[in-house]
Amino acid sequence: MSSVAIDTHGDSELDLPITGTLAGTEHGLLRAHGLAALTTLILSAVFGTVVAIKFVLPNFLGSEPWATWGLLRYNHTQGIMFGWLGNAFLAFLYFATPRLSGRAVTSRGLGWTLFVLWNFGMVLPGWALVEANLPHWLLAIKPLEWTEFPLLINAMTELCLVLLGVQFLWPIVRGPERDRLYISAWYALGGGVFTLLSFPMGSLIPEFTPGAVGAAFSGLWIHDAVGLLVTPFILSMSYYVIPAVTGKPVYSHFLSMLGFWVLFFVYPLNGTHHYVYSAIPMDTQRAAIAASMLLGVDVIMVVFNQLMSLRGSGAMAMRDVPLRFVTVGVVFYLLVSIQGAGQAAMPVQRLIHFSDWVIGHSHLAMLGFASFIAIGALLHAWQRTPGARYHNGRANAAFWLILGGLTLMVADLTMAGLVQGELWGEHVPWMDSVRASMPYWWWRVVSAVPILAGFGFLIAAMLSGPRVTAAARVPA
Amino acid sequence: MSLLPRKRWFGAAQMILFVAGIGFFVLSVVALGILPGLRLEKSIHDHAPLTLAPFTPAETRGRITYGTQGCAYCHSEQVRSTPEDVRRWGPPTTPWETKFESPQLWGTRRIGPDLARESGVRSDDWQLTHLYNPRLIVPGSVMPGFAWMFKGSPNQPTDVAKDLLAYMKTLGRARMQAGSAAHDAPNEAMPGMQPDSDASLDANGARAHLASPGRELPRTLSPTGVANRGATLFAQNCAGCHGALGNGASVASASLLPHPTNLTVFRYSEGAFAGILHDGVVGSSMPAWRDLTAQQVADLGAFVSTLHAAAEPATSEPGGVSRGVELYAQNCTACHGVGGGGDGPASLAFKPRPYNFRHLQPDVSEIDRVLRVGVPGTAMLAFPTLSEPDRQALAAYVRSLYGQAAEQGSLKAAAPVNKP
Repeated sequence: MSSVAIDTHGDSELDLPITGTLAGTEHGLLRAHGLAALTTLILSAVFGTVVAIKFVLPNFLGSEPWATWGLLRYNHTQGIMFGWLGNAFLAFLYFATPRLSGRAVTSRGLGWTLFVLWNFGMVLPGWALVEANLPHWLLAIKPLEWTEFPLLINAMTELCLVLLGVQFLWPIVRGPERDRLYISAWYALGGGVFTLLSFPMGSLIPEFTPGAVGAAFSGLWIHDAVGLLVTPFILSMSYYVIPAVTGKPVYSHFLSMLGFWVLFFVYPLNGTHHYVYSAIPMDTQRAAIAASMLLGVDVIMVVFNQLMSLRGSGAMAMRDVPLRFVTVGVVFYLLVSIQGAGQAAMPVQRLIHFSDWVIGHSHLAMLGFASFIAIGALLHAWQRTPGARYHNGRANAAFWLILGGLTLMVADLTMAGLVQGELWGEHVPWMDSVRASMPYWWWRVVSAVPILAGFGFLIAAMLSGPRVTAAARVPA
Repeated sequence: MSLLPRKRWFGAAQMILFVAGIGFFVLSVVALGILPGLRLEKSIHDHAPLTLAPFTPAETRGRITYGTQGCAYCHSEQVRSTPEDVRRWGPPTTPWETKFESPQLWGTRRIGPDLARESGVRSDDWQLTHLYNPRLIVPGSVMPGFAWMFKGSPNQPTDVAKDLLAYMKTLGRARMQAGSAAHDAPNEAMPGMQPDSDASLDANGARAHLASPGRELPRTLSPTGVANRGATLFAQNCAGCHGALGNGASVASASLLPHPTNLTVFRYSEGAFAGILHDGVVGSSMPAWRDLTAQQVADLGAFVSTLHAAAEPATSEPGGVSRGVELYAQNCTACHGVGGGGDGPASLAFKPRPYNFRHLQPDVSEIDRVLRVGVPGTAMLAFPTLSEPDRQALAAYVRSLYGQAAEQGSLKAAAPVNKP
C-alpha cells in the first residue's frame, strides 16, 4: 500500500459523540507515549525471552545476581503492564479523551509531568531497583505477583494514577458529553477509579497481614490488575476503534452498558479463584468460582456486541490492519475468558493449577487479548497523529508474526500444563515433570522468535513509511 | 443515552465513577478480602499452637532473600487440599501456619516442588550445595544457581546463604512439631478426604526415615530389575552425587558430608538396597526415593550391582578370620553390634547409623581404606593402630558376616508371604 490508510469519513456519522474540537488533541504527548510504549514493549519482551531461555539453558547469564531468573521475571511482567500497556493506554487516552468528552485534556504541562513520572519515575527506576535488589524496605522488591516493584515505586504509580485521573477523567466527568458518554469513556472512567483504589490495596495489605489473609488480598489484586486495569482500558479501545473504522455504530448500546455493569460487578469478585483448594474459606472460593462462570457469560455478551458491530465489515476488518488487530484481540478475549471461566472450576484447577497451562492462559490474555487490541488502537491513533509515520506493510507483517508466535506459545504451554499436572498426580519423582517439560520449554523459546520479530516490525511500522500530515487529520 | 437529566451535579459519569469504580471495589474487598480475612484471623488466633514462634532475625533475613529472589515463583509454599498435593507433601496448609508469614509467599506456579513442608527433608549440605549449583546434585534441574551467595565453593556459604537455609528449615517446622495435636481444618473441598488419616506428616517421598541399620524392605512382589533402564534412572537421579560412574567422584561430593558412597566397592542385599531407597539415610545427604516404583528400584538395583564388577577372592588365610573375630570384638561391636547388624549399644546415638554388615558387604580395599582414614561426617573413626595384617583379618571377618542374618531373619519373614 503506497499511501497512508487514513479514514476520510466524518465521525459525525457515527453514534460516537465525537463532536468536540480536535485541536485539543495533544499530538506530541501521544507520540511520546507511543514511543515509550514501543520501547518498553521490546525491553519487556527481551526480559521475557531471557526468562524463557533460562528454562532450557539454566546457566545462561547464570553467574550474575542481576540476571537471575526471578528478577528478570518481575521486570517482564511489570514492564508489560506499566511500561507497554500503561503507555499505550495513555497514548490512546490523548487521542480519545477529546473525542469522547468534547473537551481537551486538563493540561499539556501536566501531561509532560505525567509522561516523565510514568516512565522516568516509575518504569525505569522500578526496573533498576529490581535489578539492584536493595535491602531497604521502601526500595526492596515485593514478592507479590503483579506488584513486585518496591513500595516507593508503588507510591509513584499511585501518584501517576491520580494525575491520570486529573488529566483524562476530569474532562470526561466535567466535559460537555458528561451525561451522554460513549461506552469507551465509561470503561476509562471505571477502570481508572477502580485501579486508583485496588492498586494500593493489593500492594500494601499482603505486606503486613498473615500469609493466608495476605493471599486473599493478593488474589484480589492479581485479578484486578488484569480485570479492572487492563481490561477496561482495552475494551475502551476496542469499543472506540471498531465503530470509528467501520463507520457504523456499535450493535447495541444496551448490551454495551449491560456488559459494562456486569463486568464491573462480577470481575472484582473473581480474585480468590487464584487460590482454589487453599486455606482461604471454602465459601469465598466457591463465590469466586461462581463469579468466574458469570464473567464468562458476560464476556460472551460483550464480544457478541463487538463482533456484531463488525457485521458486514468483514472485508474491512481484514484490510485495515489496526482494525484486524482489534478484531482478533476481541476473539482472543472470548477465548481467554471462556478458558478462564472453565479453568476456575475445581476439577480443572486440581489438574492445571501451578502448571504452564496458566502461563499460556496469561499470555493469551496479556498478549492475545490486551496487546492485540492495544496495538490496534495505537496504530489507529498513530495513523491520525500529525508528525507520526506509519507503514502499513510492516504493520501487516507484525500482525502475522505475532499471531503465529502467540498461537504456538499458547498451544505449547497448554499442552505442557496438561503433561505437568498429570505427572504431578502420578507416583513419580518430581524431576520427571521437569524433564517432560523440556521439549515444551524449547518450543516456547522458538515461539519468542516470531513474537520478537513481530514487535520489531511493529516498531518499524510506526517509525517508517509516509509521515502523517496535519492536513490528513480526521476532520472535526 | 442520557440516564439522568443534564446539568445535574450527579450525572452518568459520576454514577460510573461512584458505583462501578468505588462501590464495586468496596463490595469485592469486603466480600473476598475482609470477611474471609476476619475468619482467617480468628482461625489463626484459635488454632495456632503456643509453641509457634516468630521468625528469628536470621530467618527473617532469609525469608526476605527467598522472596526477593523469586523462589516463590517456582516453589509454592502451599499444600492444597487435593489428594495429589497431600500425597506428595502431607496435610493441607492451615491458616495458623501462616501466622508470621507476611508478605505471603504461597505462589501460583510450581516448576520445582512445593516447599511448605521442606523442613527436615534434606540435609544442610544438600541444600547449600544445591543452592550453589542445583545441577551438581539434581541433574536436569532448571533452577538458577546462586553461586554469589558463596565464597567460591558450596561449603563456604556467606551469611546470605546461611540465613536462607535458616529460613528454609522453618518451612513446615511448626506443623511437624505440633504433630497430631495440630488443628487441621475439615477438608471442605474434598469431603471424603480426612486430613488426619490420609495425610502423613512425612508424606514427602524424599524425607528420610530413621530406620534400623540395613533394614531390608520386605518385598512381596519383587520385580526383576533391568540394568539398562536402571542406568537411565541412575543418570537422572543418582549420578549428581554418586558420580556418573557411581564411584562417588562428583563435584557435589566435596561439600556433602559424609561424602556420597562409592557404590563400586559395596555389595548390597536386594532388600537392603530397596530399604535404603525407601528410607534414605538420616544423617547424610541421601534423601529417600519413595517416589520411585518397585520396578524402578529393582532396575536401579540391577544397575548398581553391575557397578560392583570386581568379585573379590575368598578369605586368604584360614587363621585370618579368627584374628578378625578378636579384633572385631575389641573394636567394632559397640557400634556395629556383636553380629554385625549395625545394632551395637552405641549405635542409636549416631546418624547415620553404623553399617549392617549382614546386608552390605564392602570390598577388602574399602574396609582397608576406611580403617585407615575413617568416614568423615560419621561416627566411624580411623583406626591408625591396626596393622596391615590386622586390617586384612578384620576385613575378612566383616565380609564373612554378609548374608548370615538374612537367611535367618528376612527370608523367614518373607517366606509366608511368598506362599500362595
